[in-house]
Amino acid sequence: MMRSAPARGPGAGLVRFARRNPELTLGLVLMAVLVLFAFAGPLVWDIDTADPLSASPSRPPSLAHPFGTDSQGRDLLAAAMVGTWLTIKVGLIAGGIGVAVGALLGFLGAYYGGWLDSAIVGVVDVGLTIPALLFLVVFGSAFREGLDTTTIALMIGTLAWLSPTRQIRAQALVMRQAGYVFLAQLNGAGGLRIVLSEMMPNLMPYLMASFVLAISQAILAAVGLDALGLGPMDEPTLGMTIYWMLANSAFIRGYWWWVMTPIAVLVVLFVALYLVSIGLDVIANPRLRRRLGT
Amino acid sequence: MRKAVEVAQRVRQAVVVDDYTVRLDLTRPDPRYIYLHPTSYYAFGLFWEPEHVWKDVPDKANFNFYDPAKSWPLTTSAWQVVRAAPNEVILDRRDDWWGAKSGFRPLPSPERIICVPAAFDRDKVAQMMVANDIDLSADIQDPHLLLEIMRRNPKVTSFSGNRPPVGNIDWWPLSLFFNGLDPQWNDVRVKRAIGFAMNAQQITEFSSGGMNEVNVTPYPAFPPLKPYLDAMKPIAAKYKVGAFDLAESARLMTEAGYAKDSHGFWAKGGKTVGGAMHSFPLLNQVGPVVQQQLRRGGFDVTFFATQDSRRIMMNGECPLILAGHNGSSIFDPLATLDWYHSKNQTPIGRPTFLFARFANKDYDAAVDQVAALRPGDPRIMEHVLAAMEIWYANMPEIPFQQWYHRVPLNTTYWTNWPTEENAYSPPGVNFESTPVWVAHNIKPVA
Amino acid sequence: MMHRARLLAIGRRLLMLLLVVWAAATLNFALPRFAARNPVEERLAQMASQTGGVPQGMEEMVKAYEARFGLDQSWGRQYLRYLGDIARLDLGYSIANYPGRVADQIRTALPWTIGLLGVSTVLAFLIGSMLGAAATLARAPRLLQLAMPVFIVLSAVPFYLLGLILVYFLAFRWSWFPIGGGRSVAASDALSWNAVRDILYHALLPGLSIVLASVGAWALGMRGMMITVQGEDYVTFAEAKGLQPRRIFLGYEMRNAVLPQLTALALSLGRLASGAVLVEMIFSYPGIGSLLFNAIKLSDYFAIYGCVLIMVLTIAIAMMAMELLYPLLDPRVRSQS
Repeated sequence: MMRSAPARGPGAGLVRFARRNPELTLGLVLMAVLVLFAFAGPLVWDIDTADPLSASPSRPPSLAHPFGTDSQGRDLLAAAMVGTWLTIKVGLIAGGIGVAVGALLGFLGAYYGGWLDSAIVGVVDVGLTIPALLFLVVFGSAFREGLDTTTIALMIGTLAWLSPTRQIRAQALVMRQAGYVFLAQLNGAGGLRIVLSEMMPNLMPYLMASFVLAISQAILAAVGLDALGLGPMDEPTLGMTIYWMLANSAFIRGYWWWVMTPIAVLVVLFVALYLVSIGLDVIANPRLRRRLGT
Repeated sequence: MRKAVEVAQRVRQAVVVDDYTVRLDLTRPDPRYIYLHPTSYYAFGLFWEPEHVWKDVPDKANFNFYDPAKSWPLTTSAWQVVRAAPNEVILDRRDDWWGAKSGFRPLPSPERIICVPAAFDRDKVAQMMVANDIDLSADIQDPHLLLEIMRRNPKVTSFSGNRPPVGNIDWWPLSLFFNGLDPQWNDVRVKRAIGFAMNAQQITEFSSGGMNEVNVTPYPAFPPLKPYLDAMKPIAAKYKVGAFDLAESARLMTEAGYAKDSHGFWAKGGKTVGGAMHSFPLLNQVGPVVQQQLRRGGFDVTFFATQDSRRIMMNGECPLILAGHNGSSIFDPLATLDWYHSKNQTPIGRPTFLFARFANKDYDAAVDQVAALRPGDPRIMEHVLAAMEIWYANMPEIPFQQWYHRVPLNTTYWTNWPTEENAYSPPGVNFESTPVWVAHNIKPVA
Repeated sequence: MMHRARLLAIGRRLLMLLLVVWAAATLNFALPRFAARNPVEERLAQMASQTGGVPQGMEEMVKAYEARFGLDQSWGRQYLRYLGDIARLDLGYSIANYPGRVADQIRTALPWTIGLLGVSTVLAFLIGSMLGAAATLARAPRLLQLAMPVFIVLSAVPFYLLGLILVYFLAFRWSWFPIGGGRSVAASDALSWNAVRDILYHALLPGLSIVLASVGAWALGMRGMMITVQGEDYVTFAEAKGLQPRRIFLGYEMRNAVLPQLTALALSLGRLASGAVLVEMIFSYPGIGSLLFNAIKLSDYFAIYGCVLIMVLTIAIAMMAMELLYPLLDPRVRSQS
């Protein structure tokens, strides 16, 4: 289609990709910026200053502290870097568990059907009806000595597989009828082999989309838990920054930098994840590529 | 009901002498009993209930005594509860109040008092104050917030007006308590080292913008206690309580046989010093600051203020507690001294609010002498000093800060609130036990 | 024949409902017990902390209340009694407001939540679906094209953050709206026109934050569905038949696209309930979310269980209603079941 343009290797390929899939590209770019912020940031900025008592309290942004400081003397730029990484970590762990378990159960249920499938569907339906945050709140308030980020991630992981299971199972059901599966069966391939080598690769875009969605929901849950005060007191996750900001009446006291920092990072994070998931949807369902209004 | 055991222990019998007199016979001599149960004194005091209503109630624990048609709850107050719902309580003035008719007190001005819950939301309270939706609220605690409210609504004032501390002293001075029954605190050098690692000035700067006064005694700084506190300060200075000196802290720890491990924490035999420091969510501003200071000093301390924390603190299931002193002395030094009497050293697993779990025979002897004397007796001073000498030598806790009530008073519609110049509600307003008294005194703005 | 199949389907849904409630109830029962928390002890400790000292006789009091609440019996017996109570919707006493009962507290709070969330969600769904559908029109106005990214960004932000920002600017800085609460302080109980206006005025900001935050998602979903539907054969056929574009748009495309959206609406109810807790917390709105939040703060476990249970029940009923209504709206499903 672009035969008139000289094929110039990866550069031209990337541009083509970007033009055909603007959402995915923008989303990935934003994610890259955040990841860079979280990983490369500490190389240029002292993240020990994310601890309390690192600076004068409640100072507006300045050269020394570009995002200002909070009322306990944390440098908010450093706290944002640490918090971004912690928040992404929760998303990856919980989302990863969610998709891994979800894919497994979704495939098994779709392929084997019967009582296994009914059982899986039953559990998923029941589980999805109970609002995740409430469950986590009951869970979280039952634990002694508070929680740390990894524990929260695992806790969210126990619920994160419900939605992916349903989504992946739906897609797998469709695929089960596909021709190549039938052919593989004719050729005598066993169930598990078919699942792994035939269906899985074709479901890749859906799996990715599920993964991204699971990450997004996990982060939402984690931030919600932290904001309610059930998060780790000594880790500056983005949700905890929101909690401290609320608890210290930052709005009324006019500490806009303390309010904006976690909200801005979270908005960028959620938008990036959203765009990536839309982009993946388009890859999975090419018809959506038409007339992209955005 | 919670005080039933206490009353049973202290009071032998209650005798009606005549229509206007009741005599309480105590089980042992106690010149201070009047402040414990019979009167509303700070947060102490019991509510007197009408016997003729309660004696016929079959299940007293389940009886909520609320029935507006029958004018229940029956009280001697100038106001009557006309509505009690989860979102509001309304009290209407009884124009036929016995107190006004008998000349006891003039009929108070407020005809209707409406109480609205906003317990956990200081921001809502602040906004309602600024919008003149409310006249009085609960303690705001954060001086910056109160100053901001006063800035946006100049009609709002505090007990001390616009001047620091923008409130009044409370009976809850803060300390870092050592669990007296935890063996890691057996060596007093370790406790002093922790004290030297704490920078009380920095704590108050970060948690209250410097408006909370630094404290080196376990006492609240109420004016009647001043002579005793002044006499104690030299003893505190002798032991350098309140000094921030990391070098001295390190010296003491090394002397006690500790060495810094790979994480930079003091350790002996593989075990670090410190542990869980539990507190109330109320101290969320102070806790992380203290934690950071102690960690920098090499102590492996983690701050917790979860829902389980209160129970853990009361049962002594943690080595460090960050809290204030409930039931402190207000004008007589005995109440605070009694905290550290060995009779109050509660075993681990049984609840108490006297967190220090301290015991020392000589200390007990000195305190017993104080208890035998009437409040105000000049002989009390020497025993107090003797007790405090032992106290400072053993460091059951590190005191660091006074605590304040910061209650916003809205003068848009009402005036004659209690203030420093007009302190009719001494020693200050804690508004947990004084709101009705204040309601008797405020006048509408002309 | 079809009637029996339908009855079976309804029966299955009911069974699902019971299963959900049972699962939620059991989790509520099991979790705190496994975590070895003692709600009575914690509550008495909170009450005792006002005066401090050494609380006398606390063990006896704890035991007495435990016996009263049936907490001293074996787990098995407690569980059976608990299930029995749930079946009668007897949610027990509120520890924090003893002797108030949890069911009474919920009864006053639930209508507020249903009102706020119900109306906001329906509004968001309707507006979002219309916007999403309109965005697929060939001659969609530029304003709409630009509005989409804005809504996408907004829908990425959790309700409560949006709510915070709205409160700060619209209620605090510019005093256009009340700061919080369900009605003004000291409003009377009478159901007058003024009272209704007052309630609506207070519901505007929380409602707005929910609507703004969810519209984007609905719009996007609807747009996706519309595009899928537009590729379907029956639409091509209708176009070939020469039907009016508006008729195709409304009668064929929208009607078919909205159906899966309804399922998504049912599924999103769970997320909304979670959002309710946080939105009501921000706005001090006297619904069941606020009740739950305060119960958490006060360690009032019975109230926590009660609230969670009722929320789960509401969601389950709503989902069941949706599943039952769906065949009525979509004839294809009707013939399958």
